[in-house]
Amino acid sequence: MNEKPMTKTVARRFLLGAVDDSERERIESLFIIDTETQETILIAEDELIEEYLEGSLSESEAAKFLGQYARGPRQRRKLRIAKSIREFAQAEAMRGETPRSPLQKVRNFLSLGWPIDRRVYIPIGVAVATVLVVGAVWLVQWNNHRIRFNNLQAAIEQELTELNGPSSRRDNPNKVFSLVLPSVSLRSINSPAEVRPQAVYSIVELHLLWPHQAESGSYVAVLGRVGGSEKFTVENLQAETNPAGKVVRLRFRTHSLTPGLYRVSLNAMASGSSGPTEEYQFVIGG
Amino acid sequence: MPRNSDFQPERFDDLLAWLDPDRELASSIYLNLRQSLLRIFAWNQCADPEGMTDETFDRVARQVKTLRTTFEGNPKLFFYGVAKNLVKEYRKKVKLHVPIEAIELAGDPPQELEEETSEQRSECLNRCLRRLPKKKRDLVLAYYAKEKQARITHRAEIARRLGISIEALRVRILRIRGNLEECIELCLDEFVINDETD
Repeated sequence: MNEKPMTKTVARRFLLGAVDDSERERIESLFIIDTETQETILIAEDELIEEYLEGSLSESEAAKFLGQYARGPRQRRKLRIAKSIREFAQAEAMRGETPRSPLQKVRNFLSLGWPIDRRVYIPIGVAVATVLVVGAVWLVQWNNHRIRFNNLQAAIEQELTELNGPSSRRDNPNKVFSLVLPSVSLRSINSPAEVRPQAVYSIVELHLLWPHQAESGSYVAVLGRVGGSEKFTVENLQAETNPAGKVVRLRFRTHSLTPGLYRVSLNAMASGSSGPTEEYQFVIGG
Repeated sequence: MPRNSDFQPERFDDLLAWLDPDRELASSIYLNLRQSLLRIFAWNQCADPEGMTDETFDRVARQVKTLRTTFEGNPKLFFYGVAKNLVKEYRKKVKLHVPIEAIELAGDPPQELEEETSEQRSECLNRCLRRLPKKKRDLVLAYYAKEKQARITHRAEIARRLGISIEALRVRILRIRGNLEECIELCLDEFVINDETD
């Protein structure tokens, strides 16, 4: 047997019936026993079918092709099946291309000009995931902290409002530590008075000396720690006259405030408009 | 076993044993040989490649007991020899009959094959694609996704992504497509049988 190697060109000629009988028999017997020849011929056949379906065969090749491949019903069915597979694959590809989801767009963007080896993306992915997780945990903690802070602020403000309300002001509980505070403008050279929380009293009552003679309807006190962000507002405070002079009483619980220097800004309100303001300072000891 | 013959099971066993002592390997050789003969009859423009393939196996099976002790060489070549003779007989019959009657009278009457509907074809294609492992299904669909000029670069890209040559890719596709087409044909045959019984 002649052992000429099987090339794609020879295979193509054989498939289109363009070889003589002895060559045809040689190729057929090779096709039966030699896997490589079989593969070469079948690949050439697939290409011929493809070119026929695409309409890219020359007129004479197309005629030969039909003579070989469209004679019997089974062969015609094979052609229809081949056509169906290609049409289905092309339709699937078109469906996959449009429209693209944002995730697919990101994938496509990443695949353009980037290394194809997906292992490269593993450390990047891990780093991104870690940053996202840490960020999410921080955000949750920060949000919880903010909620706790706001709740605490609201609770203290509520407590201050209750302690300084008209009914509470008339009470004179035993466990109250009173402290007379002149305004900063009056005692600028003295150091601020200090309040030391003690077990025997739980409430501190500041007697804020009001140096102005004019009568005011009410007073608004804003209490805040120097250097801190929290501020507590107490409205509807009233002035009264006692042996120390004209004072505005402001009560708070010692446990509500953390140690540090505090400032009280007291503002007189007369018929809805703001009057004079005085500032007072005191220290909560540790 | 051949589809349309009165093949006796013990003869078929003998035939397999002649192809290879390992029965599993022999079965695989048999199926490959069957496909090859079908193609050869089709290339020779025989009207009923299936029937002629069955006839080849019948003829060999009748002699297989003797052949196992007397024949030397690749058994596949003996099958090809028988097939070649059948083609010659077929051509002789065609020449004898052509002047009198149409080409359909030549040789054994071909098995009637009704043309399937496009819905049946589409259903069989879907069914058979689903039976393929996902990797193979994706590969075969990707391979045939583009036409004309685009398909050349597209296939080169697939081969590059798989880290194989374009030739190796073609062989891989050939095997997948072979199984797929066989599955679709069997599926369509079932449709035809069901249509006939309805």
